[in-house]
Amino acid sequence: MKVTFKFYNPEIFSDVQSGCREVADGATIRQAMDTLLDAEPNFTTRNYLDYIIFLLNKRPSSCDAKLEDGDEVLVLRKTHGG
Amino acid sequence: MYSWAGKVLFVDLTTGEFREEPLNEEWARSFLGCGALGTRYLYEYMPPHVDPMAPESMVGFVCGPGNGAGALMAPRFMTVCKSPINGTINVSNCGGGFGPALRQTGFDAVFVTGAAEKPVFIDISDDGYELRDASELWGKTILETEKALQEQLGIKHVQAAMIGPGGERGSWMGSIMNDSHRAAGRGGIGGVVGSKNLKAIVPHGSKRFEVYDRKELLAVNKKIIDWQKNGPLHELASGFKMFGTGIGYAGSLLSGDCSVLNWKGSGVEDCPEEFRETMSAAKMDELYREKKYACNGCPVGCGAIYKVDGKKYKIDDTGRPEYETAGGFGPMIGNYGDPETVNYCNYLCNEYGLDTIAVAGTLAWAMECHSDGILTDEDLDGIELNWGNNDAACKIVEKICKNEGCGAILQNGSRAASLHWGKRGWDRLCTASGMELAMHDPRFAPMLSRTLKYDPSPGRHTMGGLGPNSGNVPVEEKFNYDAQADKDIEMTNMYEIAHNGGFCMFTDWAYSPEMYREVINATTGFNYSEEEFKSIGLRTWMMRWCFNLREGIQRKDYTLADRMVGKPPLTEGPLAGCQPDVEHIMDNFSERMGMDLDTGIPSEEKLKELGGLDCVIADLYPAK
Repeated sequence: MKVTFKFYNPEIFSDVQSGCREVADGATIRQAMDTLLDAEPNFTTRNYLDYIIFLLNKRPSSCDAKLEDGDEVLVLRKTHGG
Repeated sequence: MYSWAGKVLFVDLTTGEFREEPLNEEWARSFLGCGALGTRYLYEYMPPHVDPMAPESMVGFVCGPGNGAGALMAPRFMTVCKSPINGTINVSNCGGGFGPALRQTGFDAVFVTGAAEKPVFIDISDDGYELRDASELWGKTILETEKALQEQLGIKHVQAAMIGPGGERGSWMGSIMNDSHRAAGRGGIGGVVGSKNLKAIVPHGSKRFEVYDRKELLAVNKKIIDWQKNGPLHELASGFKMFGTGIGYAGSLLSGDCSVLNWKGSGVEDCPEEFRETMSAAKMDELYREKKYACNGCPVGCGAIYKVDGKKYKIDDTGRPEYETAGGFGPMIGNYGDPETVNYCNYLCNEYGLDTIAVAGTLAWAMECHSDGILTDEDLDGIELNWGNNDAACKIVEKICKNEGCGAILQNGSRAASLHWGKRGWDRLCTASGMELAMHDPRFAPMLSRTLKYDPSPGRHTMGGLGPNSGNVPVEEKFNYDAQADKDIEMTNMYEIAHNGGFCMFTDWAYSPEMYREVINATTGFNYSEEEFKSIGLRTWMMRWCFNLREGIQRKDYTLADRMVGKPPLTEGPLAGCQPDVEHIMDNFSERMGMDLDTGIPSEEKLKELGGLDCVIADLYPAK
């Protein structure tokens, strides 16, 4: 299935490109992200889940939400107030 | 005493008299420093029910024990006064270098009463202290004032606490500025200082003071650096080092944390895709950054100095807009793609000494009112202040800064402006007890709603509690108030320690929790136990709360705009349907703090348990 991922923080995700990705059927956001990031040679922040939250189709979502074809995932830096 | 300079300076501007007193060591030990210590002094020396703008009112500039002591990330001082906006105790926090500079003159705090006949500044040096004529400085912007003071006093780099023209005329949005671009912005402190005809306090001394255990302090500093490099949140450290508070811009905009269209919009719905990162620090740094900036003694250095050579505005020297300012003059006013507007408004506010959060909130309110036809072109001097009209926004900010036309009406904030205009737009106010709100939505972080409404200095996103960061947890968790109630107390305690200890708020990730106690013990030798540190912040919170009680302000008197608690709820975006139950959260907090659910009055038992509050007990529970 095809899912769009959008990234906004280059200081975490360096040159990981936003765009439409092929994702295994039944995958969760976490599984899809791990697969996607494993393929990025310059990505090194293994504990990235400590720093980010997700919007799935413009609604807050946990990383264990199951994805469907045509979904959009926004990968957002966690709020750190100041 | 160790680390503390050991003296406090009182200045009466009416009589021109100065008075030194030893720092009250018992109070310093009980309240750590900064705002809470200042509150204790005001409780003692300023009678209740004083008009904040009258000569009888007192303002304080109070250091923390680590200021200039070699402690990392502990340079912050706080101003303290009674707020002209709502009569509450107003504590406001500032970085830069004023705190360490004041301590190098031998004083831990300066308290000012009275009002001078003509503008003055307070000069404090190794040779003593005096009032000096500030007639030539009155009317100058902040950078102009700094330059003039440096020339007059022969100082290369002055660390003054100053007001700009905004504070000079008593604006309730007036701030105290330090080190060109750092601000104690909130609650009208600049206006209160301006009402006294006081332009600046200029400390320039060279006194040194000992810390209790220098070796232990250096060991803790080493641990702090290691924690930042290798600890669980090391990536946050590197991100803040690069981009400061602006690293979170896109995330906040899209998650719902950031304000959009005076809190009635949604970033993910309203902001065009191509502009979602435009006001992030990363993007703005590419355009404008000249060099980094660090507050005194900070290894992170999250600030930056900008030079803007834009199509519309050219600014030689300005601070990088913090997240609040980028959000406030950005999506809050429907500006998604024009960083020049953000930087120009930030520059104006800093130069005129006005709080960017209050100005942006007031601007957004006026913009919504004009867009909806509640305010007319005539009300706004013919300016078409509609959503996304950035030129109009800049013109209004100019007018507020210069006190011209409608700016003179808007300069005391949105609530005062609405009252002036016969309560037009009253239902569009987004304030907490009259204070415009920082760009963190309590519908995103429900536990923040209690801090915004019920902190003794209301309307603050930085004061104690679970705060904006609590919005990062799953939705089903963030609305489970009972499960978070104990943590709310714990984090209130921690942030009170951070603020009153003079630490930067970002020690919440840059320090591990035990480091605050280790630093304060190593500097002061007060030997606080772990047990004591579990509640010392609750004591400081209670001191401020009880200051307000003495002023006659009870729980029922605190307000928070309906829109901010989802009345009515948003229908689109990630915050659709979110309605934080601020009263439930406050009930939980009150039960744990021994406070009556209706009045907020704490029990005598709780006051005794917290300790150090005999002054409050004497007033609330006088001996029969």
